[in-house]
Amino acid sequence: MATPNPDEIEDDAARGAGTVRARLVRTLSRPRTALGVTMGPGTVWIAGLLVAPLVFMLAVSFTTTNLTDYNIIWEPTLARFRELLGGSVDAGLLDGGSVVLLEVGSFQLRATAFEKAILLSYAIATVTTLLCLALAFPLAYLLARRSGPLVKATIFLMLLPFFTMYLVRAYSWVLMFGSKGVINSALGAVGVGPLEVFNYGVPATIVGLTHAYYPYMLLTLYASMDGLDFSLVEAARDLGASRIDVIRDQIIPLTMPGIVGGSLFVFVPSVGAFITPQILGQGKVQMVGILIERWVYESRLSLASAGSMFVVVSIVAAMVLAFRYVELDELGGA
Amino acid sequence: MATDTDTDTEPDVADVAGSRLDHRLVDRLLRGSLYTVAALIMLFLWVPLLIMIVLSFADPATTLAGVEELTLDNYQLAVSDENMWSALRGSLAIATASATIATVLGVLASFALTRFGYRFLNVFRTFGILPMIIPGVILGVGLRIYFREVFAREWLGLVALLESPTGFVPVVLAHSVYGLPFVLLVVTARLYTFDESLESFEDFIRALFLTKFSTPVVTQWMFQQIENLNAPKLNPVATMIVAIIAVALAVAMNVGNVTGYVAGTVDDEE
Amino acid sequence: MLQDDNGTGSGVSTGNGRSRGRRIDRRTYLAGAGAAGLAAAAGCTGNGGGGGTTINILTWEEFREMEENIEETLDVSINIEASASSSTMFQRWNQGADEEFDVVVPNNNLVPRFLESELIAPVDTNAVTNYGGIYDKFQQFVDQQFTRDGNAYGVPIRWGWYGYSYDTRSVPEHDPSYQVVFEDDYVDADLSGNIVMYDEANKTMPVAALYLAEARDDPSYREALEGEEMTFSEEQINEMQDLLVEQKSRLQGYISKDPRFISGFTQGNFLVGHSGRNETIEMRTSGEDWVEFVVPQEGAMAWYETAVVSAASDDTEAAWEVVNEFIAPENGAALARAGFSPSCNPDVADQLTEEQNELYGRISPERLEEFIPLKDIADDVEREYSNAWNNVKAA
Repeated sequence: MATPNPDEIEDDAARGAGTVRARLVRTLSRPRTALGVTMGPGTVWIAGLLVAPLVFMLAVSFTTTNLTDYNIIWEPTLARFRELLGGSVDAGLLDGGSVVLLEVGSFQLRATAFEKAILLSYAIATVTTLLCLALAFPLAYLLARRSGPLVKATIFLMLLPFFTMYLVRAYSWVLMFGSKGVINSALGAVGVGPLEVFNYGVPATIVGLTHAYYPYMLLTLYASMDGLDFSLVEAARDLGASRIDVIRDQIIPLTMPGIVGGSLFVFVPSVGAFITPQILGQGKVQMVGILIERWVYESRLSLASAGSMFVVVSIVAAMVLAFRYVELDELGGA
Repeated sequence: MATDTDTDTEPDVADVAGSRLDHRLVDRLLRGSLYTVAALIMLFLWVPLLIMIVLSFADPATTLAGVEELTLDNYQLAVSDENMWSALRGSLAIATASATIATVLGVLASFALTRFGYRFLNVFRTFGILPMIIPGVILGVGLRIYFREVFAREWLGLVALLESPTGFVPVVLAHSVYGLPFVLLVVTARLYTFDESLESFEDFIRALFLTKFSTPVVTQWMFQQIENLNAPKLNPVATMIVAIIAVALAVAMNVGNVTGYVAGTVDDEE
Repeated sequence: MLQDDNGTGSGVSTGNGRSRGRRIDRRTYLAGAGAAGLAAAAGCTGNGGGGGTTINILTWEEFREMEENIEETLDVSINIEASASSSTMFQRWNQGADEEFDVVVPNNNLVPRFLESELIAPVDTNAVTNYGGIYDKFQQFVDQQFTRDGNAYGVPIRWGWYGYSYDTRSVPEHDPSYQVVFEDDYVDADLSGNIVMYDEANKTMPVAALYLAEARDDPSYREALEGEEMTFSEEQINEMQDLLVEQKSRLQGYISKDPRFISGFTQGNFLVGHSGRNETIEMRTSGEDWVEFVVPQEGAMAWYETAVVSAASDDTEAAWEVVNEFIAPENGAALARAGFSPSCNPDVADQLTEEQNELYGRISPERLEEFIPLKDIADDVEREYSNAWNNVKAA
């Protein structure tokens, strides 16, 4: 690939070579032009709509927002991060300005609303991810081992709710939960309920999120298992390996990319979830997305930016760790 | 699609020594429990939707217990809702515009990504995939603050377009950014190799891609309905969406097969 | 910070709290739909269309009910763009929309902000002939909250108030008091897990303050609510936070939308709900006669929407004439029926049926004394106030 000469276009023109179309084709076939045409628009898009907003948000997170006229005061400060993480913004913050995170007997661990929201979000996202994994693994295995119309129908039925939009699915659980919702009414009718766990709250939120993101996990696992050579598994079994051995030594390592990928697809949106906890938490479950949204709504833009940056950085860090772990694991052949 | 057949899991009876008989039993039990799990999962996925579908024909439309009669009134109510139609039109426009943008940008970039070895292309790839690991709410908030502070000035006439989180332009822009990673993944995988083992992976990415772009459909309208829990109108609309998507998906899955045959990548499908 | 009744509703809530939920329902729903697009388009082009004057208005959905009639009466053309939140109204105007709209109708607590940002013009008393007809109490509020150099800057249009409602089938009759939502043994019924509060700081925090004023016999909590803005001390905010955190374990949840409140209540998900009066009216209207709405003895918060006119309007006189029509009997009655909320002009009641009057018509001036208008939190404790609510929601 020769380095193109920018003057060539003019040379072409001077020589009057070829038609417009020929010139166009020739121009486009030069590497640098081709690169410009192919990468240019995407780069502009990513720079302008992904990198720029994130960088802007990063900058805003080090500012103060005037709460009277909602304008950003461009003076660098770390105050927003201290506000988030219970620093010394105001003296009362750690007592009156905080909430109880953990209480065992007389021992009390306190946290800011943001810290609690972050921990709650990560906890909910983790449980959701594990639930999805546990529920999707057997089914993905079954689908990968079999073929035919039944598999196709199953995939169809699994995908359908998936395409039916997040909102509709979250809403369908609104009808199910609640002290007089479908589940508790049914339990009440058979004399078991109503049970608190089927009221709106954290469990309802987890169920809603699991329902929402389950197909992501299933599809990712299925995609990674579908390429597997199951004769290895059979061979191992023939050599006397127990089922658990086979799952641990063969299937899990081989499908690790799918497990990590699926977990990522479930975990990330669960951390940032805000419609599901809003609808199914009945205002009592304050995940980090809800808190950040409220700050934006209140025009506390600096604080919202700082909170967002914290979430982004923590997720990226978690992902880096996750991918490292997987690679190591695969190398070790565990 | 899987190339295995049932015989993989069912050892030929003639070859089996007596000591392996209980293995067969365990196999059966395991397989049985797998099917049970699958059935339970199916229930989990479908029960709330089925209840919603039933309620779409019910009056009153809020709880199963109180249903007095089955009727099509809810459908009539929903279909005559002008807001629903305008939301639907708007959402289709958003989905089309954002998918088009993402596809054009993604396909163009994928050519370069697979053809050239410049180092900055890796940077591009990393950033191109980034939207996948940033929660939507965060990027949404970022874009809102960015538009509001940098561009949105009422005298530019942009504020209504850019400031409102549900406005046409910001939603299209945000969705096009969100769709980009999926296009990049599908197309680069395609261009690198025609390896058939990627088939299902591609199907999957395609599925994700479609979902990404089906989300804005009637979302705003639905959101208001859900916030206000307007069950009589919401249930029928949601049900109709399920029905439409069922048809579209069935078609897509079969067309996908056809293209598989044409490309010669499907050999043993029924 | 929590600048209006929607201030703390999460960004998720697109509406303006329960009291306005029905904006997107009923007749207005259909009527508004087509017009929304047109109005939005027209809004961008400023004065256009029609031969005469065009008045562009940013307001609540139900105001469309009056559109046609006002156009006929005044021979102006009106463009209404619906907004769901007072703070959005302010933000848009503050960013330049005051050039584009002539009239905006935010909640009363936002008006001082419009005033401080020099966005609005004083009331043209010649044009607003109905001003003298509105309840004295609201005229006092105007004097108190947004009168500068003897000039009033806004006209109260309609209003409502908050108390709580309960299910008379399960909760025995009792002296109305917020004790019912804060104390376990106030009534002889197990209310644990059966109470909902408003999902909004500016409605729920004042309830905590009113309760504490009585329970601690400390009138300073009430006094903090009575000025131009809420002037709680940090300690008071901490006490309110503690009270609400303690209450949270007894709550079924927090709800910010009328329909969700109504369907949850009807379904039996809770027995006592902090609510506006109009939710209850809507429920009774649809036959749920077991709902009882009461105003607690500690006092109640009230809201009122206030029309203001842009200082940049080309024709402030015409704009004020349109505002005048909002509280004219016939239009005011249409608005009251659409939103289940009474007009600030008692004369509107003449246009309502007896039954409607009972629900959202005239009220005796003495009763108005019980109500404290919703207002902003004072700047110096704004952060603490906002954080306190976030902490309650986090607890």
